[in-house]
Amino acid sequence: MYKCTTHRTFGQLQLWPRWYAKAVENEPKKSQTVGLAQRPDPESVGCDYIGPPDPDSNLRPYVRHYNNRETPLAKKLRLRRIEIDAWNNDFWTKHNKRFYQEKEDFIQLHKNAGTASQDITADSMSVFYKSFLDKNRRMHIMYNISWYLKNVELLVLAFQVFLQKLLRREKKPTQ
Amino acid sequence: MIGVLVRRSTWDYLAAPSSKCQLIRLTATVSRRPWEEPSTQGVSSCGNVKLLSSISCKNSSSLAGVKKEQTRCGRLEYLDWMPSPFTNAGKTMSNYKKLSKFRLTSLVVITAMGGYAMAPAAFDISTFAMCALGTGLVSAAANSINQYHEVPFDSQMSRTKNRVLVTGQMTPLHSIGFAIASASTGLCLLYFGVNGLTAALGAGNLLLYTCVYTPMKRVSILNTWVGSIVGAIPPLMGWAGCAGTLDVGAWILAGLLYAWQFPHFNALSWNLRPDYSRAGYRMMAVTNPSLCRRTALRYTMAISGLSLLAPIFDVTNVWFALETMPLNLYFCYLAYEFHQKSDSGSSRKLFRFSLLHLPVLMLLFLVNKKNWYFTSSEQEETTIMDNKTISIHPPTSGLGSVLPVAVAAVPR
Repeated sequence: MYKCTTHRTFGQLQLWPRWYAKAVENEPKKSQTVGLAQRPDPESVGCDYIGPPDPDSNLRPYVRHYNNRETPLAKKLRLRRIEIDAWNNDFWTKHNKRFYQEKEDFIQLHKNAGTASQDITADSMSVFYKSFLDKNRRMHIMYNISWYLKNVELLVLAFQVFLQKLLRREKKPTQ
Repeated sequence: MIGVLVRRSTWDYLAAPSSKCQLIRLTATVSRRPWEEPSTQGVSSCGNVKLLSSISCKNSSSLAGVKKEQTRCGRLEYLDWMPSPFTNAGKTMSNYKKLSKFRLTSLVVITAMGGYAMAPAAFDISTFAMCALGTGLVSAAANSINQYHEVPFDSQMSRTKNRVLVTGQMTPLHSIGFAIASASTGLCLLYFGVNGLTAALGAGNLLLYTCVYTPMKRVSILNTWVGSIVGAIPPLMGWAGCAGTLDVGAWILAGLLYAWQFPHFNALSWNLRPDYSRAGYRMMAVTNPSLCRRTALRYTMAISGLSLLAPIFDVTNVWFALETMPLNLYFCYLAYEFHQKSDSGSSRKLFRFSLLHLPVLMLLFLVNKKNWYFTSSEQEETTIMDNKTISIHPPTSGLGSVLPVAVAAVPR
């Protein structure tokens, strides 16, 4: 008798989420979507959009929205952003292609060298990783400096545009 | 690896996901959406989409296209192209937490609080709180600036590709604004609420992390040494906040934390070598694996040595050395295993134990502190009198007799 009652109360406890879930399920399913499925047109959207990562460069592409009321400063910012995005994308695409190509060559070389073991060990791969880093050291440093300067430039421009928008909004009520 | 990703994901874990949902979650971890969090009512920043439902859906869209999944879990769908910036309604704080690397910041605050507690001076709750809060804010600012600088590199590594700046959820200007606000608030709190030395250490640490460590990660393997200094400064800040000066005990504590960073980080980076190499980070694990293993072992021995030094310099009692010996010896043993075997298993064991080792070590340090009074007022009357003005504070409440009290309370 005791066992029955505890089992029943436990069963009742388990039923409660099911009643709730059933109530939810009975409502018509409306799907609310956030974002867009395809790459949007710069002139048709109200704000910037960011897309899925590019398979080659792993960077996410931006669509910078275009407003015919934009000030010259905002236009400069937008064009500079597009330019720097493209430069970044280009660098990383080439870099990653080179990495995978050299990795393949290394693995092939290793197989041709006729080692008995079928899989290349992590320690052997680390020889490749080190050589790749050493070969590209100078390029990485140059990219680093360029990227930092460009990033700061974009930051300063963005701040100027932000101030401009703020001042315009404050000016409007007085006009 | 997928299991790890699922555990660390920001998806909501609903009460009863269907088996289909589970499968989607597992298969979609590689291309999961960082925006998928439980959302409440609100409007997106673009103003043209309203988020109404209270639970979000696990979207299984891949890189190729969009799949609309109508599961019984929810009604919200995140498509491929998202507005930028974008915040899930009610998730502004969550974005800031991700930007400031909240978990790491909390650990830094804990080490600072530990430094404060271990200092041989009076415990003042308001100074303690301001020290902790100030350290947290400065650390949050440092992490935000780091994330701002490293957007293209973070995109390359699977560990970091879902950060808020990489996914466009925040703009770089916003993140720098947050960093400036956080750093100035934190430094003001430290300067006006604690003391000048702590504020100076905080500012120095911020500069070291953002201007030296972050660029150096791509230039030379010495970045690990600089990063270890960055990790060792918060307890110094806590100590300075309490005692006003940095004495031998502070340096021993800082030394312990400095030495701890090496086995911790070397073990962590061992399994991330392919990612670090492709992203262009110069870490010991990639460029000099044997140095990586040797350093991990060497610094575990340094930790053991420093733990033995603590009683000699009168910072802790002798029991500290005895209590930490098994802990440190096991740490050395794991580092030795890592040195010999150097595979993913031994590195993971070492990393996990390092996460346990540090809190236990700090707790033992605190418990075995030299100037730890459980007394009544008689003991205070036997303080040394000399020419300097000394004011003896008899404990007024029960708590006062338990907390460590300065032998000579001089103004800071």
